[in-house]
Amino acid sequence: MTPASRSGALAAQARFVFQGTVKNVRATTLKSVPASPRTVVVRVDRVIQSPETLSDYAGHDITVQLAPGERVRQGQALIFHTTGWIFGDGLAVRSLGHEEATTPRMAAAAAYPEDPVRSLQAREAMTQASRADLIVTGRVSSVRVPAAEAQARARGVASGSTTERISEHAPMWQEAVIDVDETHKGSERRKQVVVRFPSSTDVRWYHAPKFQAGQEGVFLLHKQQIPATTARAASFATLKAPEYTALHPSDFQPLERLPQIQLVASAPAARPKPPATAARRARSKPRRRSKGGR
Amino acid sequence: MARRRRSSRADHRITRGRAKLAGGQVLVVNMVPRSLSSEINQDSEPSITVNPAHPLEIVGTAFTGDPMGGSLAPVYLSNDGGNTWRLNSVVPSRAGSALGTGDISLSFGTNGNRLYGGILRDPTFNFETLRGTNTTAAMQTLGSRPDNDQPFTHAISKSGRDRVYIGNNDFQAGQQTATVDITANGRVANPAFRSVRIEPRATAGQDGPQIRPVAHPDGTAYAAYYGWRAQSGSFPGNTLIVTTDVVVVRDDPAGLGSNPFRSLVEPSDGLPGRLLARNVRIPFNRNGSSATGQQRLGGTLSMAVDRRANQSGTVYLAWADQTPGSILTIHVRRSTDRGVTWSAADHLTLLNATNAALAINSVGAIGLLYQQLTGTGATRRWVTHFRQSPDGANWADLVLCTAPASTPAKTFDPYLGDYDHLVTVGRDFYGIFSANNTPDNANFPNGVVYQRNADFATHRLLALDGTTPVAPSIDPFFFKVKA
Repeated sequence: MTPASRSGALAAQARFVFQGTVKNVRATTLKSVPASPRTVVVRVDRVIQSPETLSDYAGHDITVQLAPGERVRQGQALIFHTTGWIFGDGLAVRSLGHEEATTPRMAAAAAYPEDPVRSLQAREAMTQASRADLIVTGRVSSVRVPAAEAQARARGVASGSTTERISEHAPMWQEAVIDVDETHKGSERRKQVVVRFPSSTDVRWYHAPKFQAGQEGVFLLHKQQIPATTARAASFATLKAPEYTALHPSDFQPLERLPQIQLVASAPAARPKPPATAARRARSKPRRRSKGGR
Repeated sequence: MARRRRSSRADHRITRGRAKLAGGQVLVVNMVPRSLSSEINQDSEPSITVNPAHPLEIVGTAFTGDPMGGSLAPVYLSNDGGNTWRLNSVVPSRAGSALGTGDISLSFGTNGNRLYGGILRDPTFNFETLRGTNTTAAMQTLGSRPDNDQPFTHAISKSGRDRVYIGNNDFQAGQQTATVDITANGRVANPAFRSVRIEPRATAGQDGPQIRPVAHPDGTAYAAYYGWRAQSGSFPGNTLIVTTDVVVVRDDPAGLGSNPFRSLVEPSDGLPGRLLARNVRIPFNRNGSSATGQQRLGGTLSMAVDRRANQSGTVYLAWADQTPGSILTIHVRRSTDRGVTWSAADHLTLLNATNAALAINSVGAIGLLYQQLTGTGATRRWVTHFRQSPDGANWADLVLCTAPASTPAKTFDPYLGDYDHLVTVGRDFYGIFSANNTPDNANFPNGVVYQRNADFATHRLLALDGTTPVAPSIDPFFFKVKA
């Protein structure tokens, strides 16, 4: 596996990727985490990929729980690929693996070297692109309530009773009609595509894109994502013949991200390996190649 | 600038000092840990449970996702009686989830250290019943089914068994959706939950989402729910008004008989379930608005039973309806004869209030947590109260928090949550609510302790570096009142 592909495999699972220096082995920064052979204290030198909340950890000591078999030495400068563990007075993370902090590997780990949050967002967008059934660029020409749903609402109002379930978590489906400029992935070659999206601002749905007429960009569209049972429970939800849905916040991207998305869309094996498989692959090879780490 | 930095650091050191009960009575703690000082999530709809066998062990929940998007959603965990908190991800979720989990309610058994719960799991929102044998390992899913809403968990131990009651609005139950899932013993390897339908009357298509079970050690089990009878207006249009009964059911053999929750009969129609209020009107909002302090309204319901020996007939109920001039009005009533008759007048009437949560302690004192909207226009504030009474007649009032209702702007509904929560262990009341987290002592008249970095002098939250300002957001707050 090349450094770039190895970094990619680890980064595909890790949300918090950083360059750090091992300060102490068999050590911890948290009272609630006893020191063990697998816990080390690492000074975060540079955050490479991170959610917003954790993007300001450069300069701080954190506890890293090493993966089984993973070894590090005091003073090593490494790139750690991690997931969360404990968030208390201090931070403890679980390592998925590490790499030597070489220049090529640093370059491979971040799409935007100076912006760890944007790097994570870009990675998520690429993941969504690889999962999408249809990727188009275009413009939303109109937004409407699905016909069946409008009829159900009218029946409910007229009868004074709930002919459909009323729930705070109802998606309140709407349809956006997209005038397609170009198709980048998928076999559809139509001038218009209809995408269904939840207009609800409930906690369940607020992350989903809320399309508006005139909106232009890259649309990462997916075939039916809602189980029939869930659709039945949702108020006025009649997902009988959806064209496509867009539920993930990354399912709409600005046009400037199109070149990266096109790369993913044109890749022969666009769908990522399941995480566990990718993790095993990422772990196994370095073990054979390196005695100092992974 | 340098002076400001020094000042900020000094202030946040003070706020992170060991918490003490202010005035010897009440402790209020912002539960977001210091390591997440930069977070700006809307951590709303909280619930809490205290391990009666080890009261220093407390678990809180809210709409808080795993900060790193792990495959488990976090709970707030304290091992020192609520003085300090950390996030520990133990709730089934999905990798990459920003939400963590949908509705969640957990409850310890009275002894045995086991933790039970009901969640709407992300992303399916299936209703899942959960069990944890400790607070640090991933909880086990015992059952899962779709088409459900607002699971609400109550557990009680008896003779080495954990009876677990989870109220839920089961859309698979036809039009009579009020349901309590019950197991006689959650401790066995594969506990079987039975779905008990508690609504015997015709509905307007469904019941309301709040189904609240409580149980007494002697085997008496109660549940309260809104029996929806008619509707007008439009849910999509955010104008829905529901006409509803407020119903209390009871079961003397702990909800475990062949035909449970039929012990209490309404004289007027001979059906199970005493109608405490009939044909009252509640708004059922799709969205909160500025007029409602950004909070969506849909009724509120809470019940508490006096768990002392020979006191299972004493039960309090808080419910709400819409009255003229009030967005929602909480009423508190009492029964001392096992729910057969109820006080004719309210023990408390609270205008413009929601998120009622009742609990009764080991000496029979009643506690009520609620959140009240005061003021008008830009001066609207959410004021969180804890009321306490030895007898239901005389009520003391502690204001736990008063904060602007217009900031921060909501990122989703519900703004504060469709519920908050109050429990007791021994004489002490333990509660949780969500509120604007601006570090201003004037907002917390009975004191507060922040774990996250904050500068109370300038009323600013601070990032991990102790200097960079962080925007205000909605945080969960723990409180404890020593009775």
